[in-house]
Amino acid sequence: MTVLAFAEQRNGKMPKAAYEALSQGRRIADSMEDNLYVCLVGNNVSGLAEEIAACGGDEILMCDSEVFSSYQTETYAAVLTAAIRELEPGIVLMGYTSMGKDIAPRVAERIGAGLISDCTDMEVKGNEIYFIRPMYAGKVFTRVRVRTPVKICTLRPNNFRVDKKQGKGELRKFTAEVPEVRAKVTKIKVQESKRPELTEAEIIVSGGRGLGKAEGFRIVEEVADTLGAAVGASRAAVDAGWRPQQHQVGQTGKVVTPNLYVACGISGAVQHLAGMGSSRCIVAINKDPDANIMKMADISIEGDLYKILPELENQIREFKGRET
Amino acid sequence: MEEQYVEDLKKTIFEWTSKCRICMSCYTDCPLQLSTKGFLTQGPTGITKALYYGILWNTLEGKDAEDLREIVYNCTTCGGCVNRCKTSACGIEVIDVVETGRQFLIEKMIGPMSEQRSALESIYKYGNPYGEAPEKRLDWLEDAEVKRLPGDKAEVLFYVGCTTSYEPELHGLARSLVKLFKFLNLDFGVLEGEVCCGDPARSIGDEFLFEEMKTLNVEKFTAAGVKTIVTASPHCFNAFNKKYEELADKFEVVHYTEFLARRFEGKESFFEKELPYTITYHDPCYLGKHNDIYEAPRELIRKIQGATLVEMEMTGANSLCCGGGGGRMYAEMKEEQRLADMRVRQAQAVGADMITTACPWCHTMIQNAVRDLQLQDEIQVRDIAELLSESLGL
Amino acid sequence: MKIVVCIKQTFDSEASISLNETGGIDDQSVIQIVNPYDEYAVEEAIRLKEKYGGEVTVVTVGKENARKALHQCLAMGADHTLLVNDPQLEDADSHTYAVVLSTVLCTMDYDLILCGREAIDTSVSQVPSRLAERLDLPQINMVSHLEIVEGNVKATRDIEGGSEIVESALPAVISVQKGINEVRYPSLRLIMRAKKMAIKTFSLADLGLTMDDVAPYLSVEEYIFPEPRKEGMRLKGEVNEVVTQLIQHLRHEVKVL
Repeated sequence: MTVLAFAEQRNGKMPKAAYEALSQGRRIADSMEDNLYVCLVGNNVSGLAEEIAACGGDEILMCDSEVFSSYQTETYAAVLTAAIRELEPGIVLMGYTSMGKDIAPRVAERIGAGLISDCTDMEVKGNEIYFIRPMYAGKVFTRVRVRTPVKICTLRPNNFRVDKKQGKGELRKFTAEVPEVRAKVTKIKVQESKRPELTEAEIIVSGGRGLGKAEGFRIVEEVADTLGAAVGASRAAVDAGWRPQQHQVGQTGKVVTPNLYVACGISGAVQHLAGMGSSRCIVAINKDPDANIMKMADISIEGDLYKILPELENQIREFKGRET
Repeated sequence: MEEQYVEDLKKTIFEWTSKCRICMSCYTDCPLQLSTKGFLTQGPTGITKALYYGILWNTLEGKDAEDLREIVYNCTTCGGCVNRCKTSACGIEVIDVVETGRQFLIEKMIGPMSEQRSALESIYKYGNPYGEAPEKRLDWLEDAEVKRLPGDKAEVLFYVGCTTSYEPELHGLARSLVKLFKFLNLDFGVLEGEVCCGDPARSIGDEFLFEEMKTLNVEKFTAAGVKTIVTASPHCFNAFNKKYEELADKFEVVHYTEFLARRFEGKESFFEKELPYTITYHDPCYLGKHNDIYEAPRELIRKIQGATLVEMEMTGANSLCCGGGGGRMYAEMKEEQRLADMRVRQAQAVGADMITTACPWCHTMIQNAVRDLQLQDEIQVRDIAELLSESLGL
Repeated sequence: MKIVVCIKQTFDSEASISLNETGGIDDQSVIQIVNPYDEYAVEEAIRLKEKYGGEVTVVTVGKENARKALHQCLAMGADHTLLVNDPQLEDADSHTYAVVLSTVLCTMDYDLILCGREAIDTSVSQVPSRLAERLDLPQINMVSHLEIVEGNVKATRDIEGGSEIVESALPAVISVQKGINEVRYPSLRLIMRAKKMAIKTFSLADLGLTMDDVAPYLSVEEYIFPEPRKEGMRLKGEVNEVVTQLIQHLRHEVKVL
């Protein structure tokens, strides 16, 4: 079975989800004893070939032109469709990112393929692949089979290991006919932040209603920054206007799977657990010992946030200082 | 052509609001006027006039609509202005105006405030405003002996209410009342499948949702076959007593403070355990201003050995609202407008180390304020029922 | 402006999930709601109508019970509603929905199609894009702000660490995200009134579709219930000691620091 991974990039940089798709693609290719093909679309992106090869890419179909300098659904979808039609892969992998969510279903419908979105695990059995993905906010998972010859799958970020394994790394120029763009990206606004993106972060420190007020997030941010973590928020905190919507973790926000999730003053409503319930380690800090989150956290601390968080920040600073 | 229902709402609002002669006496009794120096509501007159002109000029779109919503929904329906208007002016039932105004805004889909929306939806879906599972409503009840109506039969129904049932901080209140009722050898029980009294729906302006809850409750109370209903919350008490015409002849509805004051009359000697606190009592608006119950809670506090009752600057009929009534409980209030913060400062000023109250909402609001002001080590917030039960050694 | 909103009725987010005797997800004893993201789409459509005139039609694929969801949309201010209900849609996946919806939409006149970014039950985020592809329309997903500028649509689409401004001619398919608006509250009285309004209902045969046309691409082999997370270590006491214990544990046991 031929495996194709889509190497998502913006401005010549691949997000973590792209590396995860490559690595997972490599693992499947290995078990199928086949090549890992990679589709790379962009402008002046040949520099990425080395990194792609280091994650196992054998043959890289590169569509490199000014036309692709920014992501446009219609042009990128045309290239990916052309690549799939040429290679006829059994499986196509990419990240469940804003780009993956946008392009994958469009291409899937065009080529008549089943698409598994937000996949958290895969089982390869002979020539069949079973996909595991959550439903109902993670209250149940499904094992799904795709009936169509081409199977497309978007991977939930932070759920698939990134391995360094050298592939052949053959770079091949690829061209595809692209249509005129109707829905055109005319501007990209980037919010300057030194913190990692929520969905990619290894550590997330989140705040909720228990902080009492918007200014309460200052101490959450300080703890996050000493840890190099991202800052999240519960729906209550977002609805109260304390944090922007983009920072919301939960069913109506972002789904995250960090190694460490520190929930500060968050009660742990179902809707929040849906967004962070599969984090590897959950620490809850809350005044209420009966709060939901305290019952499912790996470590829970009962007490006053405004006393615990500054102390936490101090002690982290201390041991980080010792290490450097 | 608007529907008759909406036309009628407008007419009602007009009739009342056109009576106002802008004497502005009511300003002196508006807590929000006090805490925001008039920037928020322009006082009760501001609310009624905003409604009057909003409807008259039909400025009910865009920013105008948002402003009107702000003005009408910021009112905590404490009732201070109503009493003032009765005694010093033309007797406008300002709260009725506000509530009818909210009904009108809901019909126009201008109301409610966004945070109140989920409370209303949750009442409709689960029978409580907090999105909590109905089957968890009695989780607070540790005592397996307590009767569960209507399966069991009893004379007195303890109607717990949504906040007391679900808010962990208030489980002490619920459990204390159970202990006190048992101490009194009362034939009482709680309701299996209790639902919201509907008061939040009414005060936020969804009259039909209130009616729906009323129908449900009347059915449940009738099936339970009780004589007396004792409520933990003054809001449920007020709704049952004043807005449930169907209950009028069938049941006696009492707030627990009055109920206990009656039952414990002359039983001072039982309250043996000394609780050496300087206690101040915060009058809940729906007990005091709305129902003239000022003495019963104080009588109960005076029974407690070792406790000293001190009164705050604003007390009794002049009490300062905690900011949680009128559906405000579900909406965030900007920090500079938090009445509960002011209230805590008033308690501090008279040297109290404990604030007692007899309303789950006041309790929550004041407790939160104490926490925000980081005064946990200096001031405790307790419900009267908790103190009584502790003083009885229960 | 003629706007079509595609909605789905979903389980309430608090619903507990269990299987029925045939091994499928039990939908009998569950409170069902309009998918929250779709509510934003309906709200946005009504706001556009209020601003530019026109009409809003809400379309859904679902069972008889989905009428309740449509009543809510009518109470909010939608003008027409349409339900596709057919027992053969039991195993529908997002491809199936796209086929059915595109068939319905082919018979209609529209300037804009609005959807929610995903349904909170299956959370696959596929229908809007698949639908756009089938109708050969441009798509803009995850939109948190929308305006009409000289007959074109200008949308803000959320991406990692920022946003894109996307401009498109109409008609287009747009999926919306939380933050785009605040959904109005339809009072119980308005919902009761909406119950008396007409809902057009179609079966697959009415739409000229066969089982083959709507055959799903995916097949669910098994439902797996995750082990609930167990209560872990509880720390309480002196702040500095508790924090020291926490850090020790995170460094040496969990090894995340």
